[in-house]
Amino acid sequence: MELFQNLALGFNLSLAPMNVIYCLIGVALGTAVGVLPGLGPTATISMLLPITFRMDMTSAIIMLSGIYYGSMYGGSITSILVNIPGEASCVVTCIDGYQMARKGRAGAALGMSAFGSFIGGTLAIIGLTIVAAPMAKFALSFGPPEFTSLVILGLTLVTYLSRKSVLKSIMMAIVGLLLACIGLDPIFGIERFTFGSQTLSDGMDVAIMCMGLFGIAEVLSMAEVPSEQADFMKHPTRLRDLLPNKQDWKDSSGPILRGSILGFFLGLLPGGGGLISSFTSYAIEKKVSKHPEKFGTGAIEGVAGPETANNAGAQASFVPLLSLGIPSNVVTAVIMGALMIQGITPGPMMYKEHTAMFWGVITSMYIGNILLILLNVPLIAVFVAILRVPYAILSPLIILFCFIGAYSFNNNPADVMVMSILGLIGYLMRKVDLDAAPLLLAFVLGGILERSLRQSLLISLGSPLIFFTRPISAGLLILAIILLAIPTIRFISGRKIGAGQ
Amino acid sequence: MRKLDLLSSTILFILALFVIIASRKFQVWVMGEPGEGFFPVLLALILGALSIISFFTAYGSRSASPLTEPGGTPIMWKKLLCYILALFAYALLFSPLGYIVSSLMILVFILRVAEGLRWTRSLTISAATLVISYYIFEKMLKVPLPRGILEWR
Repeated sequence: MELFQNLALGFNLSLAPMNVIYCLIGVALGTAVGVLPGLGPTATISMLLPITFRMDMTSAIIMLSGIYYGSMYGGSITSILVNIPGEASCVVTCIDGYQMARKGRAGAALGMSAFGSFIGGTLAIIGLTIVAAPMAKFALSFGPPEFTSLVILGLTLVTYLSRKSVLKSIMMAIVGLLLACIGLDPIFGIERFTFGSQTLSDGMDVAIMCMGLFGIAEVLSMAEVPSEQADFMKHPTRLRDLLPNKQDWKDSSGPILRGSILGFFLGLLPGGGGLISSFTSYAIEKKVSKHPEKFGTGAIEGVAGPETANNAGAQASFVPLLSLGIPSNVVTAVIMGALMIQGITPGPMMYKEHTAMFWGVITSMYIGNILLILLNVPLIAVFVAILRVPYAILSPLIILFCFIGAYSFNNNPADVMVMSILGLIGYLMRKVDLDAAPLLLAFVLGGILERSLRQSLLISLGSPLIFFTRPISAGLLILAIILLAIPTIRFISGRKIGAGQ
Repeated sequence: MRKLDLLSSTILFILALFVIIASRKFQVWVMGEPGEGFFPVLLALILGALSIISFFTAYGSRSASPLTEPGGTPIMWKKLLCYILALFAYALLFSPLGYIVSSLMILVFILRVAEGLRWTRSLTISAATLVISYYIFEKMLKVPLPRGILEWR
């Protein structure tokens, strides 16, 4: 079969010793980059671009893509250990992963995250090899109205994340969208809400928001209680005991399966990738769970599902790039730049002219997934050892770490002040029972939403009907409306019962 | 009546109001297409409406607000304020004094004053942290950190 021929071709390339080494460098670097706040896969890949000019193109792409999905895993390490999402797509992992760590189950969380990512990535690649072409064609039919509706759907899912009221989550999401408006308007370039500040005119940065709203806010919350109370619960010492047990695997099998499929399909869509996949998976797992109240207190399903989905999504996002030449997110856009500088234009022609490279990259992802497991599982014991440090010492170290991260971003001292202010705001938000996760996720989606919304209205000459006349867009929006309607109806009928009618 | 929700609703309403006022110079609709003010004003209007709904929901609610401290331990105000003070002092001094000096000061302050560790322990931990972090970040990863008053290097 042609497929096997292609796979053989691909593995022939990706199993070459040099390429395996590049893959290893990529995933190791990616993991490290995911752990460090302030540095993301986009920045790293951009910095390494010049090096790739002298490398063989296939090797270069293998390494760069390794950085991308490696960072998905690395970001989850800090999410679980210290409640700081290393990447935006790891925000969801903080919710239950960190709670698991608090309860002495960080090893299980880290382990399940690694295994889930592996399985998700592997299934995504299998899916990739089979359905790449037809799915990619479907992706072509996505225009601004479809993007808008997809993001709106995504935002409605975001509101399912919180254990608190849906109304508050929606309001937090709107605040996140408003924060995304700070800076230059995406179409006219007019400054908004910058109040003359040079720092603000670049817009708020997601890494700084993560560190402030999650990391610093957590440290301040812990400052309220005696440090002994803040200490992490004791973790077992043997690696065998640290890793997920049979019950964990039983609980996680469903989420992993669903996460893989979900992540794969969402990753294929433009604008997809790890982010939307992760919180969609969380929302779905919460919905199908027999014990939804466990979510937010340390349910392993809340880690297994999203982690699987975000890795599957990250790897699936290479399909539109390689087969259609459409980068679905910033990272793949930068990699596309790397290809184009070398004279290779991703797209249908690439498939014909550089078949070996195409399959070489895809098969390298399989190898990369294996390398990630081999690299990271033994390290779990090391990561967990960090949690033994008394919180009295850990918390100023976290502050230090965040400050280094924030400063290293732009060498702008104002950034550390912004982060500190956000930290205080994050702390105060917790005091008044408001959740930061929907805010952050909406913030990340905000830029795309506004751009697509305004472009759509431009195309339709001001008519909002465009969102409903185009079938895909209409479908997505109707789904979003249904998802919003369910809690609203429940809310209204609940009130009626409460009023004694 | 959920007091915390009343508070949060009010704050969010004020925020919505603030956004609308700050957007007064923006154009909402320009020659048949949305202007720069379209998105923020739309969002602010929705937020304002939702916060009003939230306010009245909280007002009429039978349940009380969830406890903000599990177990009901009293808040350690002194420690919290030390942390907040340290945080902002650090933010202000980070660049002018440089990474090493400011971090040393803040670490010692937090460990000694906020956490109550002995002087010797505080100093050793701070010094060790600084040496290790400086080595890892500045030397190995080449992350530029502010020199501040140690400018001669």
